[in-house]
Amino acid sequence: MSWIAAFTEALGDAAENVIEEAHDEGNHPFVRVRAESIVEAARALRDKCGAEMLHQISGVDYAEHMEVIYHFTRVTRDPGFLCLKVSVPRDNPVVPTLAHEWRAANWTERETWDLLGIRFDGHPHHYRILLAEDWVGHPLRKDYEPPTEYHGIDCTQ
Amino acid sequence: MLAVVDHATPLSAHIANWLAAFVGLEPIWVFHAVGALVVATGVLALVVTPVGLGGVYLERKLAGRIQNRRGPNRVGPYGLLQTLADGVKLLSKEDIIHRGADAPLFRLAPYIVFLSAFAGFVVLPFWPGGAPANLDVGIFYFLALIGLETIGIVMAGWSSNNKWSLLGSMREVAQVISYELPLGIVAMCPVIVAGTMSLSGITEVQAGPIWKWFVFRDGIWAIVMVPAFLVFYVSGLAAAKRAPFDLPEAESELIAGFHTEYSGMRFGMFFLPEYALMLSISAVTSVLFLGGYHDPLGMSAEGGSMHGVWWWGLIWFFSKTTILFLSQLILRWTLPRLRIDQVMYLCYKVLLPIAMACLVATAFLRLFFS
Amino acid sequence: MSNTVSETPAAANPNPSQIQGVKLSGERAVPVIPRDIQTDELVFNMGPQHPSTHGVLRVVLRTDGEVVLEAQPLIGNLHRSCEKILENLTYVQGLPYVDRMDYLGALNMELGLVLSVEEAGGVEVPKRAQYLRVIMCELNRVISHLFASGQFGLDMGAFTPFLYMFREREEGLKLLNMVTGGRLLYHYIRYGGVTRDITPEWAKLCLAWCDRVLAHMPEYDNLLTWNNIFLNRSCGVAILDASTCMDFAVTGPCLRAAGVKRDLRKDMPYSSYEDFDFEVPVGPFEKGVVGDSWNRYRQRLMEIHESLKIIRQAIEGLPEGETQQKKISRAWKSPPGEAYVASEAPRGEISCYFVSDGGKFPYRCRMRGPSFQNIAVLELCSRGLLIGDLIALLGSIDITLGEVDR
Repeated sequence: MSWIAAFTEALGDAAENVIEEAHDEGNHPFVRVRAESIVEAARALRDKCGAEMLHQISGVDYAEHMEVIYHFTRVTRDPGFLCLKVSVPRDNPVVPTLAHEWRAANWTERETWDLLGIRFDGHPHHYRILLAEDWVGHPLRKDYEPPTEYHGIDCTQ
Repeated sequence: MLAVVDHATPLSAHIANWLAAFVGLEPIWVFHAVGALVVATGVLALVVTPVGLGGVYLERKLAGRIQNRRGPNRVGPYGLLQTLADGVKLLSKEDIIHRGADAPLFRLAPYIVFLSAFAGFVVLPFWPGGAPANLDVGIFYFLALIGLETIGIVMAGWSSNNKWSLLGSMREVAQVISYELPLGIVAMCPVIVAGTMSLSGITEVQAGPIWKWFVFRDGIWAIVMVPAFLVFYVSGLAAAKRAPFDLPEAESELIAGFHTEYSGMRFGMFFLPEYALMLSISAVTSVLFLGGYHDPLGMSAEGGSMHGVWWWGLIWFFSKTTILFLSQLILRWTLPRLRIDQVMYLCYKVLLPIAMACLVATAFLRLFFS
Repeated sequence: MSNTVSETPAAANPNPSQIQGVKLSGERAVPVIPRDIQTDELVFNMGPQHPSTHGVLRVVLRTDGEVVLEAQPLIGNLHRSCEKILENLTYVQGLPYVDRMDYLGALNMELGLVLSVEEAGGVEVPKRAQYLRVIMCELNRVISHLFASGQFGLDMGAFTPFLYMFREREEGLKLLNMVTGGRLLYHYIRYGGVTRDITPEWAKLCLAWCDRVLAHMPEYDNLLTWNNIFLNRSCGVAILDASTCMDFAVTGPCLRAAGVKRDLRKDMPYSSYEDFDFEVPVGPFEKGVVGDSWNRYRQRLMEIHESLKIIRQAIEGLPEGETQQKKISRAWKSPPGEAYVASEAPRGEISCYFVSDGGKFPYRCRMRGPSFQNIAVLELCSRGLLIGDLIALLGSIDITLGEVDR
C-alpha cells in the first residue's frame, strides 16, 4: 500500500474535505491538500503514516498561484519521502503554520516567508531570517525587481 | 645656578651636577636616580631579552616540532630573530585606544602586569650569593607579585569596556586568587623544612647531592614533598594562566580575553610577562623543590670541587628552570582547555586538600625527624 | 580527576522555567546563582567575527556570568541567494554555484543538485561515473570530517590534533586537486556523469592515502579522543536526543550520534551505494551519553573508517565504461517535471526540490542545507550551558555558514 492510500485511509471521512488532488504516479508522488487543513493533514501523516521528520518546506511561485511543498520523511522504518502540497493565491498567500507541530518548521517557514512572501498564520516568530529586516520585496518571486541601492550600497553591479 | 666644573671630578659627577642644576635637586639624589635608571635598563636588557628571545622562540620552535611544522626559520639563523622582528612589528603598529575605553586605566594596566611579572626575577638566587635582592621574605614577595598581576589584568578587562574582556578578567581573578591558596600553602612546606623564607636560604639548605633536594630529601620527605611539588607545579601553571588553565584568554571562547582590545606594543606588554611569569614560576619551583643552583652530585656543596663557583650554579639553575619551562610548553601543546567550573573544582576539591595535608604532614615530619 | 565523566543527562532542557538555579552539564550540578545575591544579566554579541562560530554566524547570548540563559542565532550574513542564481542561469552554468554552499563538502553539494535534476529529467548515469562520484564524495566526506573533528578539538583548546588532522586533509585535497583541478570548489560532477576520469596511478595514490589516514587514526585518539580533559569537557555536554533531532529535522552525524540509524546511503541508496559493503555507526559510543558532544565527535571519526572502506571498494570494483552521458550537451535542459532527491552530505542530508517547466533555466531549485536545520537547535539546546559548553555544542554540530545562509 502506498503512503497515499494509507494517508487517505488515516484521514477517514475528513479526506474529502482535506485532499484536493492525489498524484500517485511518476517519480514524485504527492497529495495536494487544502491550505486551511494542512495542520490536520500533517498530523495525520505523522501519527498514522509514520512521518517523523519534516524534512523540508519549499515554496514555488507559479506566476498565477503559489505553492508550498512539504516534504516529510519516515526515519525509523521504511525510509522514504512523503509530500504534501498546498496551493495559495498569489495576492494573499497565507498558510497555517506547522511550527507548533514540528520545530523544524520554524526556520524553514521563516525562510519561505523571507524569500517568497508566503505568510504562515500563527507562526511564533514571523519575521525575516536571511535578509535584513528592512529589505523590500521577496527575491524568489518571479516578478521580483532587485533594488538598485541598499543603504548607500550600489546593487546594480 | 651652574656648578663649577672641576676637571678632577669624573664625568658622571659632571652629568649629575648638570642635571641637578636642571631639576633643582641635590646632586646626590640625581646621581642615585640616574644610577637606578642605568641598573633598570641593564636588568631589562639582561632579563627581558632572554625571556623574549629565548622563551618565545623556544615555545614557537617546540610547538612547531610537536605539530609537524618547522617553527620560525626565516629571520636570522634558525629563526632566532623572529621574536625581535615581531617586537619591531608590534612597536610600529598603531596604538589604538577605542573611544569607549577608560583611557588612564587602559594605559596603566599593561605596565602593572609587565612590572609585576618581571619584578619576580629580583629575588631569584641565580648562583650562590647571586640573588639581586636577597629578601628575607622572598617567597612571600614572589606570591604577592602574582596577586599584583591580577590587578593589572582586572584593570585591562574593565577599562576595555568590552564584555568578553571583562569575562576574561573575571575568570583570571577567580582562577588566580583560587590557585594562590594551594600555591601559598605548599610553598610553606619547604619553608618549614628550611626554616627561612629567603629563596637563597632555602637553596642553601638543599646543598648536597640529589637526595638533599627537598623533593627527595632523605627519602622520607618524598612522601610529602612529591605531592607538594606536583601541587605547586599545577597551581603554578594555573597562576601563570598556561594551558590547560588558559581560560582568561581562551581564544576559542573569549576571542582573546582581557587583551582583546589591546594592539601594538601594549599587547606586547601582556605577551612578554606571560613568558616571564612562566620562567620565574619554573625558577621558584626549582628553588623550592629541586635544589636551585645545586648540582645532583653535590659538587657545589660545602667542600665540593665546585663550591661557590658562580657559573656552575648558574648552569644548574637555568637547566632546571628550562626543563620545567619546557614541560609547561609541552603541556600547552598537548592538552585541551578545562572549563571554568572544572578549574574551580580542581582547585578547591583536589589541590587545596592535598596542599593542606602536605602542610600538616610536613609540620609533623619536621617535629619528629629533623 | 578520574571518574568525573558524567553519565547523567542534564542539559538540553527545553523547559525555561528550570533555568533558575541552573543545573550545569556534568555530574557536578552546581547551583550557580545563590538566591540572595542580586545578579545582572549580560547580553553578549558572539560573532559574526568570533573564532568559534566557524564563519559569520552571529549568536546573541543572554548570560548570567558564565551561564547561558538564552542564545539566539542570527543568520544571513553570508546569504547569496543561491536559489535565485540557479533560476537565472542555464543548467550547466548553475552547477558551480552550489559548490559555494558547503565549501568543505562541495562535491556532496553538487551531487545533491545533480541527483534531483537527473531524476526529474530521467537521465541515466553510466556505472563508472556513479562509482567515480562515490569515490570523490567519500574522499570529500573524509576530508570534511577530519576538518570538523580537528576544529572541534581546536574549540576545546587542543591545537595540535587540529594540525595533525590537517596534515591528512591537505594530502586528500591534493588528491582531489589532481582529478578535479580544484582544491575546495570542484565543479566536477555534471549532469549525466563526471568531468574527468581517474588514472591507475591516482588510484594507487588514493589507496595509499586511505592507509595513511587509517594509520594515523590512533594518533588522534591518543591525543584527543581519550584525553581525560577532553572527555570531561565533552561527555554529557549539550545533549541532542533523538526526539529533539526528529523535531528539528537534524540529520547526519548529529542524528546518528543520537542513536538513530538513518543514513541515506544505506536507506535510500543513490549513485550505486547499494553495491558497497559498509556499516552505519550509531551512538552511543564508548563514553558519555547518547547524543552528547563527545558522541557527535566520535561519530565522525567512526564514519571516516566507513568512508575509507567505501573508497577502497569503489576503486577496486571500478567498472569500465563512459564517465559522461553523451546526450547531455552544454545546452541541455530538463523536460518538464519535478523531483525531490536527498543524499547524505558530510553535515547531514542535502536535498533539492527541483521543478522544471521545460525552459532553458531551471524553474525552481530549492536546496536543503543540512546545517541550516542543524543550527536551529542551538536556541533550545544552549540553555543552561556554560559559555565553554556552548562552544562545544557549536563545534560538535559542525556547521558551515555558506550552507546555512546559502
